[in-house]
Amino acid sequence: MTSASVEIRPSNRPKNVLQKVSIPWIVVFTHMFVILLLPLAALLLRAIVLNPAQFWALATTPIALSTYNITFGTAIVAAIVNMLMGTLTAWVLVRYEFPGKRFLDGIVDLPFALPTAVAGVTLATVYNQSGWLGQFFAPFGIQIAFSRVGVAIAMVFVSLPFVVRTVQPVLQEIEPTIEEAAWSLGASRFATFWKVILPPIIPAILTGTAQAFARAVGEFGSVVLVAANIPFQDLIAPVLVFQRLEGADIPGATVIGLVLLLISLILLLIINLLQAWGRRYDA
Amino acid sequence: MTSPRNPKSLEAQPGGQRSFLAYLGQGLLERSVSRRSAILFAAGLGLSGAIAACGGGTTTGTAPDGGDQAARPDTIDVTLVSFAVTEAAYSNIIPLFVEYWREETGQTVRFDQSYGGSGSQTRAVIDGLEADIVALAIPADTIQIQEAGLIEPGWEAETPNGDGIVTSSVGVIVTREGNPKNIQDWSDLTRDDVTFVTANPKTSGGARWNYLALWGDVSETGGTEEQAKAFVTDAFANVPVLPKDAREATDVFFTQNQGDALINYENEVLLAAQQGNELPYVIPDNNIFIANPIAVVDSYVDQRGTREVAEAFVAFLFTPEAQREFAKVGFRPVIPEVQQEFADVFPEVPNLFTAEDFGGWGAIREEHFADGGIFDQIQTEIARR
Repeated sequence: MTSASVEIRPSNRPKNVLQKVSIPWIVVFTHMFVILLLPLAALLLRAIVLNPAQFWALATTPIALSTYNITFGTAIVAAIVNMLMGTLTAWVLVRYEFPGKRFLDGIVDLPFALPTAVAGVTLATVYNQSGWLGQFFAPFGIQIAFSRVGVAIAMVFVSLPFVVRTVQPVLQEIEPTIEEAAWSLGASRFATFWKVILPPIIPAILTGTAQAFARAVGEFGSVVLVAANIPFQDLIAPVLVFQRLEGADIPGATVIGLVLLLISLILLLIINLLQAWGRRYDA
Repeated sequence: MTSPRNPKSLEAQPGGQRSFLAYLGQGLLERSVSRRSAILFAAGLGLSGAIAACGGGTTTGTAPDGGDQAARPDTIDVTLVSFAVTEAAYSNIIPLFVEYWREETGQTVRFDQSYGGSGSQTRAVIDGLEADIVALAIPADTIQIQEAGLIEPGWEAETPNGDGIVTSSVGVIVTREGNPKNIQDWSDLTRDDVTFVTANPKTSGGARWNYLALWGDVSETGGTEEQAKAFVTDAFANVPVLPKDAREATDVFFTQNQGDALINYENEVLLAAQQGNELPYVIPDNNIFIANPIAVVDSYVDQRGTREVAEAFVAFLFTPEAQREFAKVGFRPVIPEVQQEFADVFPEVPNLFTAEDFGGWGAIREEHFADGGIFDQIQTEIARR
């Protein structure tokens, strides 16, 4: 630990080095190690018992491939819906005054607090063919619960707060005077939005969307209840992991878990790069 | 996760946007810090207590290690781990056993009981839930614990019948009120106009019985393996939802209104009837002998010094008193005396086949439910249609 901390700042000012080995640093490092890195290492170790050919075979069974497709496809849709609706929600919460605003502001966080299994059962009940909302779609042959649409709705639900909560503080910091200045200089409403308001909130939108996406990819509890869980139809990868665990197939489950982790890491990296690009004009 | 957050935004700024919970917490704290925080602290304690209590679905508080069994201590703690629907039976049997054991030995037995899905219970025991006795829904689960090295091979022979089976049941088809689709047998589940719900045999040990019942309807009546596979494929093509366990399958059928039929177990249907939910159901003539195994977990009982009482409890479960309690909640008893008493409740099934007819659980798991096994092939085939 000490050597690592020395590496961080090979400075000729010893006072600085001492600051880096401060107690908060040690506590944080230990905490992250125990909570995050150790379990990840255990996951990797479990997969290492397989040789690459076995790994590849388990990672690319037809059912596994279809679950990646469904998981990431649906999670992207859910993230985009949250990106648009979350930004709009944040906008309304910041710029509008209306009765019940505080209440609305409060319940945005509800999906974090609600056990996801409860969310899953509730969504299935509301969206099945005879449910409150599902019944209006059933006559057109549209099935929501127990289909991929239901999976997407569950994902939108559980990742709802991310975009709202990242965009909201940024919007709040934008002074209305900046818009007024833009108008007074002759910019149209559209141009004002596009060139004045949007650029500073883009990094926040992307951050929130990335978080929503990552959350949606990992979601299990609500999806397993609202989906039919039939392979090639709406079986998602986390549920496949669960199925393999239930079948005492630990290596098979680990492989899918690792594939999910890798794809998510790559996608998050891309989004981080996009964010950096979005901030390129920042001081 | 990805955002380099501005640390200032984490501080609660007056008038700034905060999360609902932070807002609530701040609001409470701002008033009178000392008293309020004491209340909050107490509330937090209560909450964590409640959370711990909720966790009781699959795990129980571990009993203190009984390392002091030199004489016979006055009280002894035993942990029973079983699958969900046995709770009603065990809650009646345990007091009988406690009484019996006190008369025999003067010792008081206290039971820690844990009920949950058979598969998750199995994993919990393997991962360290110190169960003295495991009563699971399917021998494959007990075999898993054996393979993990916790139960010595040969546990089957330690029960009076010599097969390790404490209760049994058969598969039934539950239909909608009045059976509008006229479903009478497994073969009706392959009809194009019928849909039915079953839990996924990959995740639900219990659903493997359902799968075997369908398979055996062909293979145990003279059909070939190909014919059996085609039959099961036709049937599973009619499954609109594959819930992860039996409880959820029941919910999907009744509450979410999916499917014309539900494959269930006779004991669940009989228990539901006792609780006032009479369900229309049929018992197909070609049926699977559903066997619920019981075993003492050797390494835990030796560690905890509970072997004597755990083995006595298992033996007690095969007495007429205990078997009657199982029968009352819908399980088929395994001793002739009680079988005769309940003959009118449990109609005889003409052609009953067992897991051994399919080569035993080891072979069934490899052949049907492994990755790329027959069940995976069936699902791939269905998707291709």
